Amino acid sequence: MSEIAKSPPSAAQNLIGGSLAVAFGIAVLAVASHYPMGSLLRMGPGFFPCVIAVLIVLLGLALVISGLRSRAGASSIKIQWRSVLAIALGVILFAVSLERAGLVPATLMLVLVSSLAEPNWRPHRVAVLAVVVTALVYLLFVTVLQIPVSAVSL
Amino acid sequence: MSFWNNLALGAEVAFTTQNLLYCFLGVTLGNLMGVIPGVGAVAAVSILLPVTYHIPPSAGLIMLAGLYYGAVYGAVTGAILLNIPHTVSAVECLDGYPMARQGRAGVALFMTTIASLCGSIVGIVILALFAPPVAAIALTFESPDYFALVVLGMTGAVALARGSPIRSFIMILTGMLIGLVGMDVTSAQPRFTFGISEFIDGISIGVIAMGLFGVAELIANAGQLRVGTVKASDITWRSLLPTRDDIKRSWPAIVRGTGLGSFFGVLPGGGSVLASIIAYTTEKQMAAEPDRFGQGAIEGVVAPEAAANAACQTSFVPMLTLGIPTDPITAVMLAALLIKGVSPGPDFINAHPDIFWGLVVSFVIGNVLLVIWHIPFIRLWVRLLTVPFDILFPSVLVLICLGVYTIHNSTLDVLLVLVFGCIGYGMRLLRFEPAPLLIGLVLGPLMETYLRRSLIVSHGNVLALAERPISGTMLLVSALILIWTFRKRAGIKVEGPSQPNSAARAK
Repeated sequence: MSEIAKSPPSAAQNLIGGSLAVAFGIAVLAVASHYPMGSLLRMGPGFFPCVIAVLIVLLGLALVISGLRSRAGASSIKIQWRSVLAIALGVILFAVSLERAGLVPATLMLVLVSSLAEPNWRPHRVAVLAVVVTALVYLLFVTVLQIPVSAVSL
Repeated sequence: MSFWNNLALGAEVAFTTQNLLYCFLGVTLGNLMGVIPGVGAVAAVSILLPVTYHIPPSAGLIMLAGLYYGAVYGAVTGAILLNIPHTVSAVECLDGYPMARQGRAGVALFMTTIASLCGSIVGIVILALFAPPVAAIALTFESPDYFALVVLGMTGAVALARGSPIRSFIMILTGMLIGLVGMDVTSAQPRFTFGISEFIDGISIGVIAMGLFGVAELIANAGQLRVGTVKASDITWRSLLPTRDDIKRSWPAIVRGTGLGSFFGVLPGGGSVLASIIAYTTEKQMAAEPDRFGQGAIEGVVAPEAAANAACQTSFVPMLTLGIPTDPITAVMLAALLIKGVSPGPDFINAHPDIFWGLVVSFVIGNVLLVIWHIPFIRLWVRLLTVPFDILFPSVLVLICLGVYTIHNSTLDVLLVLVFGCIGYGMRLLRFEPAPLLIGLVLGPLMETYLRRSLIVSHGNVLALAERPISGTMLLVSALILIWTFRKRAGIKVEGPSQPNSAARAK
């Protein structure tokens, strides 16, 4: 949260954020314009989303303009690719394997892969963590909450 | 029924073994997740959301509410001892951490517990006294009034949100659109479902909240958060005791914080985060020696804490009586109640007096439990803070993934939480706040429904929306708020706490 409270958004953040908002609004318009618009008396399902989408486009444009105007704040946008990739890969593997391979392998994989987000990855520590977390999760979700997932199914 | 009869009914509900258990579970887990760096109240409420599907509505609400104020209590521990800026406790770091460095962590922890208790109790009293009359007024509302109320809620959330109003406006509108995903109830037209059958019922707010607040936070903090060291043995019994000077400085600050918090909790878009920031700024402005702030001034710790807790309780007034969420957490709770077939609104207290008064009494019980957790058992939580983040974050991620899965037993939801996590992380990078999005998520469908109904009643006359005195006034106020907000450009410029977080975030 700390970075949010600091200086106002930089020009780049306004430009990119604004353009994304405009793109999002246009995409929504493209989809929602296929729904019946109805009349003011009987609003169709397309009416409300289209109004909101137009508002988003306008507000996005306002952000883009303020981004173009100011040159202030050269704070670069730094993506922590390591964290994004490790967590994304871990969650995808988990989602794919949970119902096919079972809770135990899915959880083990999620812990092992997502912990790669930490730059100094220590195999022993992570292995112990994975086993402990899996055991606890098995107890909580399979034994107590009884979710319909098998522990291991191969 | 008189007030005391109502309280007796509430006590009857709250003191059942089941509800006591869920209250205990709620505050304890909330406290736990509040203490853990990188989780926080919204994620705590969302992770436990699926559990409420299997228990009665009163127990579910008691537990979720317990998670909320429990997390608010818990967050301050990390703020004081390790300078971990949580959403709800970011300002408590400013003076709490310096106090800890001066060896006065015990005093800070003790006094914040007292401040929390004071703020909460006043907040609970306000909830019990004012919710019924507010509901009575709201009973006279018709569709246009509700539409105007939702508009007011939306503009309030834009005006009071942190950061630029344009950004929060975009976020709230985006939330409204996401709220529309699924089958349109009036026309049976599926919207934005892209042929995916799971989307027909809409995207669960739990998935979105856990993605935007839980997964996004983990991505941002993984490998970044370097937690300092703290020893449980440093917090001795003796160190908890405040000096006479501490008490003299604290009590007026607690009173002011409680007042501000009670007020800002009711406002849409307010909630505990805003309340604590405003309480801090007010203390700093009123102080005889403002230089003490940032150096460990006890007023700067207790006032925001009292405010956050008071706001936390009073935010239930608009949520339960009007069905309008004021912050992301009440938005999630509102959605949970709707799923249980209980719709908060003007009828709520009359239709479900057991749930309402049971909740009120459970707040008192929960707050007493939290004081017990925080004074005799404080070392337990301090010890928890010594668990390194590289162990915590994969564990929290597992909890989130399985929690999401259990909502509908669907692996698609697990993938969606990742998608929303990445979106949330992107939003952080581009400085968009996720909080208004969650509010919009609940407000969007409400706004469409009321607009539709009003237009049918008025035969398609848009101007009729503003013709009733109540709706007209509320729309006028909304318009004034919007004009005022955008003219000020930066919104209400709360003196942003510039955070000295060298200890929490190492480069």
